[in-house]
Amino acid sequence: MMLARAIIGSVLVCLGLVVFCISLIGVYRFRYVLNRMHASALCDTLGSFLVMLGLAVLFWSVWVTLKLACILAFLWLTGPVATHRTTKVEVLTDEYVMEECEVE
Amino acid sequence: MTKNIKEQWRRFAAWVNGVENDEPVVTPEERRAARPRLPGIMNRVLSEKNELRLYHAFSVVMCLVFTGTLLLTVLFLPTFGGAGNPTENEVMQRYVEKGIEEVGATNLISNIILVYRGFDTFGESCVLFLAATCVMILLRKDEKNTTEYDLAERAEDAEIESEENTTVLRSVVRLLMPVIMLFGVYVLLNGHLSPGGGFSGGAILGAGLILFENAFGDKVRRFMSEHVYHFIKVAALYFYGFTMIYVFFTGANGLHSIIGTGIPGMIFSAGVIMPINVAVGLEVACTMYAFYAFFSKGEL
Amino acid sequence: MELFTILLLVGLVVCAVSASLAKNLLNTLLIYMAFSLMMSMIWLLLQAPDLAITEAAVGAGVDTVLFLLTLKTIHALKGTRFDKGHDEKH
Repeated sequence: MMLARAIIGSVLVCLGLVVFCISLIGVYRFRYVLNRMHASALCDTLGSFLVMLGLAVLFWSVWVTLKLACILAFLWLTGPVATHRTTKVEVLTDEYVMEECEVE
Repeated sequence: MTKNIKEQWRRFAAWVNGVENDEPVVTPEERRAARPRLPGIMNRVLSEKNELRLYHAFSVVMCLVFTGTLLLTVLFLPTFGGAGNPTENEVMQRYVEKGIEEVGATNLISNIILVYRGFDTFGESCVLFLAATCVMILLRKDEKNTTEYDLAERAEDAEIESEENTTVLRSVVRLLMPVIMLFGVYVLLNGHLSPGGGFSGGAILGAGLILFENAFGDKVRRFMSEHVYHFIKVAALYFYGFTMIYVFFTGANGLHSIIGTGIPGMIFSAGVIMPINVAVGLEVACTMYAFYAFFSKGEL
Repeated sequence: MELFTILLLVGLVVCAVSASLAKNLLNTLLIYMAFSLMMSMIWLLLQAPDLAITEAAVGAGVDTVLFLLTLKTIHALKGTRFDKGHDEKH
């Protein structure tokens, strides 16, 4: 039981780190702002979720899980909103946004 | 030489009086020609390009020398937290052993910075106050110093702001704002029991206010007018100052307070530490918000 | 834990050097923010949680906002709406 928990937790944390690495590659590889925002935002939420889940499995205690859930709720609330605001500003202020992508 | 000084003084006075373009127009070529060259034989040996290279090389060497000296000093520092360090003397022993008994706060750091060394922290608060005042002097915008360019830029900002839809931000801020403020107040009030205190709690409160201003601009401006800002800032600093005067007259070590030490570990304990923490926190929060407001809009 | 501290310290040095070498002011700002975050983690490892809270809130949060606003005010944000102010003004 103990060993299985340790293995599952470590695998989840490592998966989260892999997701973070993918998002980092995306941020460097894409050229336009909105593509970069997409890469970073998508993997940010998934990566933090996986890391928190892995930590909860590793610690296996009610209070730690509650705290991690609070942190995750905070991250999931703030991260997408920050991305949304940045994207909105880019769309509103960039005059050449039409050349890059379609805007309604 | 005297003529040169007089000339410089005249130009300074003109600059103070607000005269612009007092200097004669100099083209870059003329300026390059008039630039002082290296003295003596160096002038003839080095061409202009090589002289620039010399300056670059010299700056790199200076940078390396300074970095090397600092790193060399680090090598001779005593180990972190070692037993035989010079800081390990009777002062620290007293703070650690008698701190809880004499002052009553379980957070030893707040014992030291607010009671034993209260005057230092008072000076820090004054520095913060001065910084906020300077920012206000430099960045404040009213009818007198607002150019048409500023007005046009502000109109453009307002247009972009009116176009965007802040529903998402507003609903999330409505959810998060109480939590952030509660955390700030918690850190502020528990400064004598757990890590935190005036500066940290005030910074959290100020950052929360900035977020709130971004979502609901009008609502913050309604209660955070300039009068309120001045009142809070000056009242907090006066409170702190009078506490320090009281401490000074009762033996300058802060160990005799009217409130008493109470039971260590309770929220109402540790004498003057909690009121001072609240005062410092309010001042820091106001200063943070005022910095943001002055930098972004030029007014509160 | 020792290895983690050493990694953080190396990251600190890398951040400091690259912040001074970066050409774009905005990049310098973001690197400085990363520097502050790493610094706050080091404060935590040095058992100074007071400083860690303050560094994270002030260094990474408020400082960055203030520096960004300064760059906006002096029209130094290259490639944004605020950069075009130069040719209009002079």
